[in-house]
Amino acid sequence: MTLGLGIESTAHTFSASVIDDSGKIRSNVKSVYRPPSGSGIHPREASRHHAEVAPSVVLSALKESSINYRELDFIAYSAGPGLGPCLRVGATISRFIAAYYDKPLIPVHHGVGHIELGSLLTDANDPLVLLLSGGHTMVLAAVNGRWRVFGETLDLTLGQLIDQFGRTIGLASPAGPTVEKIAEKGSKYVDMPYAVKGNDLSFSGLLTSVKRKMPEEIQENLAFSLQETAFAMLSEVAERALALLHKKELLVVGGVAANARLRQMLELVSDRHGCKLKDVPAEYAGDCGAQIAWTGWLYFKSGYSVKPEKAFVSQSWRIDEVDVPWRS
Amino acid sequence: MEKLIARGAEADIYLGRWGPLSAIYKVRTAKQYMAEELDKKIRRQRTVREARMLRAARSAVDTPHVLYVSQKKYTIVMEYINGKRMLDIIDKSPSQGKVMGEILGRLHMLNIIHGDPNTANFLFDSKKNKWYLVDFGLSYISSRKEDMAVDLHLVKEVVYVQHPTSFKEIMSGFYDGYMSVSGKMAGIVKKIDEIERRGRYARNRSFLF
Repeated sequence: MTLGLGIESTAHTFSASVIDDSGKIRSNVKSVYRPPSGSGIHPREASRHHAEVAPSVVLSALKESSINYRELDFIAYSAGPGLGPCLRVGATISRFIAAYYDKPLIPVHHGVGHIELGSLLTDANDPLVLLLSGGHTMVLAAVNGRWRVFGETLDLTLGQLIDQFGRTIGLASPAGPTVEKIAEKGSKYVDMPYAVKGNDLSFSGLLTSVKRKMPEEIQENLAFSLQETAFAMLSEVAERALALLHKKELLVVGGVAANARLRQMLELVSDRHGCKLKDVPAEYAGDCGAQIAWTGWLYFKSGYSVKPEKAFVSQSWRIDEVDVPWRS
Repeated sequence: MEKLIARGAEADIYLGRWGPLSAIYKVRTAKQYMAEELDKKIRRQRTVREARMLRAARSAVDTPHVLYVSQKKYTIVMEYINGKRMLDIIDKSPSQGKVMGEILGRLHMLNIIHGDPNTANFLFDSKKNKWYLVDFGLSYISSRKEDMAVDLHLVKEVVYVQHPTSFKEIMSGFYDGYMSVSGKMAGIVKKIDEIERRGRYARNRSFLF
């Protein structure tokens, strides 16, 4: 039995998880930094939060799975992309554990982590993937040992769009769940720019337009129209990819995947193209240690790890530059 | 009666007759998942736009003849092109990338941006020995280098995913073809870099800590 520890700390969430080689998640403990209302995540404040909670989160992850450090076979950490100060907290603690107990240390790309955990939990084999988090809005498919980008945003991500709208109406990031509730009360569709460029998307015009309409329209209708437009754009891009690549599974991962209206739309998209929507349970859709631990295991099995002195973090790291040998 | 031959992302494609001719019926059907106002706006806009652009592009590239347009039914009836898709040919003969470059270059010379230049939209009719460009639903007129560069970026993106093993060869032919038909294009290729650098996480910033 192989046991691995995964540590996630790219943005607002610090989380640790123990997973075994059958894919059973033995523990998944998180602590989420909450900024004051009306503001985004301040990297320094978030990293301070992470540094404070890190020891207790890691200890409870081990305790819940009733093992100690010596029984671990590897330590995996989220190496990027993300906020520099936050990444360093998770990476430093992981490097320390790996060096002290002499365990293999495995850097994991945060986005790959979302996808691989999603595949594990939904039994997806060869899915078309929508990766929707604070940092990513991408349509991907695995080809020749890489997750290749079929389409993506040319400017803001969907998460940023919603967070920045949230901020203008006084919400703290991540604002998704609250914006979703507000949107449910809206009913009037306000005209907004719809920007699909081939397989790519652009959300910046949408943000400008919704901000400009603030004085003349109630929040509920704006939130409703913003979601309707942005999600329709995303659904269309997903449809394009399905029509061209003929995948039989559509996997949706990342924090925004928790939105019920988006799931409903993607359900209809999947039906139309005869494919199966694979949605990840809400607990694991957002950032968590399990995504790092499981991807760590996939690398461990392929024989990849780094020496503690070579451990790196990368604030900016494209997913299509990451080798994923188990997908070749 | 018309027969459904393909279901694209935004339209159903039927093969039928138009008088004596074989014809394609491109029908933009309602999308259940969209807000109704938005859905109707997009379908109307794209039907009108596609018919207009199919005609406008003809002075530079071969496109199917538009036979009939119904805004009410969101339908365009056009000449049927019995051809092979670039998508299915190009892995065997990656030098065909040049053809795509030439076609797109000629289109851009007219200040028409295709908007969705993926390899399924280039069709070769072997009887007529002609390449056709189809699917103009996302097309528009623009003389901005930025917009042309996005078109090129889309080609690159789609070739990278669908033809990863012949990516380099296809793209080098593509740029050759593109440059060969258009003198003013030098700055555009540079613009692609600019667009890609604007993309998420484009500059790798990794460090030891």
